[in-house]
Amino acid sequence: MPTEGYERCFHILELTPGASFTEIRRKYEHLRSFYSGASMELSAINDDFTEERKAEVLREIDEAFAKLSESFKGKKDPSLFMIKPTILFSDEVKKYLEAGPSFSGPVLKKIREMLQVEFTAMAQFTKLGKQCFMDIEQERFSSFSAEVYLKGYLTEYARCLSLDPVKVVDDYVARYRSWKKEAEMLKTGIKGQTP
Amino acid sequence: MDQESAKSRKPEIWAVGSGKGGTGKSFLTSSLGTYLAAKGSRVILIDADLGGANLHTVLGIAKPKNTLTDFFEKKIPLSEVIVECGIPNLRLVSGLLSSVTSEYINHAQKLKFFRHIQALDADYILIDLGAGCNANTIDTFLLAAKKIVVTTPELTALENMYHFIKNVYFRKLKKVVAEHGLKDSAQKVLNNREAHAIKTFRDLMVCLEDLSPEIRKVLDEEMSGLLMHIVVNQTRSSYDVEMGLNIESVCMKFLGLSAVYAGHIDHDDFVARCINKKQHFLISYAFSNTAKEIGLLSEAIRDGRRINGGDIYADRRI
Repeated sequence: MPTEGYERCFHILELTPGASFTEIRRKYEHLRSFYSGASMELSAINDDFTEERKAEVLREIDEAFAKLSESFKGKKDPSLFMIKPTILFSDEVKKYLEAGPSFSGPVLKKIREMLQVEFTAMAQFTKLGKQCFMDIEQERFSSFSAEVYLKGYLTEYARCLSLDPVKVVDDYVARYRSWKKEAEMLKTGIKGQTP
Repeated sequence: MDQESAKSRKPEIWAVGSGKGGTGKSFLTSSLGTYLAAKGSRVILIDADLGGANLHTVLGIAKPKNTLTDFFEKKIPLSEVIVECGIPNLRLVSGLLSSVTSEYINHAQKLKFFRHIQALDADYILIDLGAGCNANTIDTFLLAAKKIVVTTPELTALENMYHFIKNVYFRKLKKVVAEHGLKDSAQKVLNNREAHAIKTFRDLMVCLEDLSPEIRKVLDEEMSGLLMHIVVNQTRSSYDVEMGLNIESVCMKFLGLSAVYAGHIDHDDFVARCINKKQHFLISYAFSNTAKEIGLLSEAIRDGRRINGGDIYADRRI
């Protein structure tokens, strides 16, 4: 592989040569969205900001990414190019998900831990308390006052981990319903015994 | 050989600056100092914020008797102004308020001050600078081997931080140009910015480098050594934490300067509470998350590393 110019590409994407494709794309996506938007960190430079320079920076980023991804084509797993952006699962997680696990509390916990997502971060993004996510993972069904709330929490949980919300809700709610049925039967059973 | 051994005994100077007041310079200086001292290095803190010195308050000690004012006015040696802080290995030179402010210190006094700082007997000397961009502040900042810039995730703090960084570079640039006798050609560009269609800081650097290969070489050598360590203080969300990376990027792409994101400190109500109660935060809450972050940060600056966050975007999956 001719190395000429590649070093510059890595420099533009603020990476050290030898970075993996996942790193390259993640950084590219971040820089792209950062320089496309009107963020505070950029606007704070005041006089030194020009639209021309911004356009130049964006063009440089695009070119560097195009050149670097060209060099990866045909070498690495082509599926890397097909995954939707921002969902960057490691091989371990992908393998785990491909096996098609039913989304129970412990399964969700395992996936979250593999993705290294903290409760604090989830709470920040969803504006929900950490407790409801913990309850989901621990399967403390009694803490959910109604199914509709549980569904909402599950959707948010799934979105945080880039999982399919429909499948997560289906699998989990099925477990919730069977617990509820059992609990009700138990209740009526007790009632039936006492005169 | 003699020179070398003398050099190795010289303390390493760290300076903490920021454009805006209230970003946590004093807190950061005292915390870095305490951490380094706890790790066994001999540390001297210098409160060079002559207009509003209160490093002793952050450290939770009483107002020292001798201060930098005595050094400047009564010509007491700097070594006699040093006071103990009640923490092993950690000592303080207070710059307590009086009639003198750093604006009134003349050039000769400043040079004497710098000479005395470098002659102090310690492993690390941490200088807490005042807010703003006055010449004395920036010269002191340039004296340091490790240049630390602290900001908070607010627009005003960021604006002033960029302003401060640019001022530091500009002053260094002027010095380099003068030292290398490039005054004639380069100074002309500096003075006639409009004629050269220089609108931004980056234009200036590009224009200077294009003047001649000689100037390019000098600038490459001299300016590349000027590295800022960025610290984002009082972060409240993962977006705030990420801000340091964006600052790094903006510095490189828009200003053409190099900066390193050394780390962040989360917002912690207990910091303000400790300062108000005259308690030393790192001692009262040595096992808090904030204390852990300060530790990581200090090590990153000491070893010249970037923030230790392999997967800093991990939380932004949505």
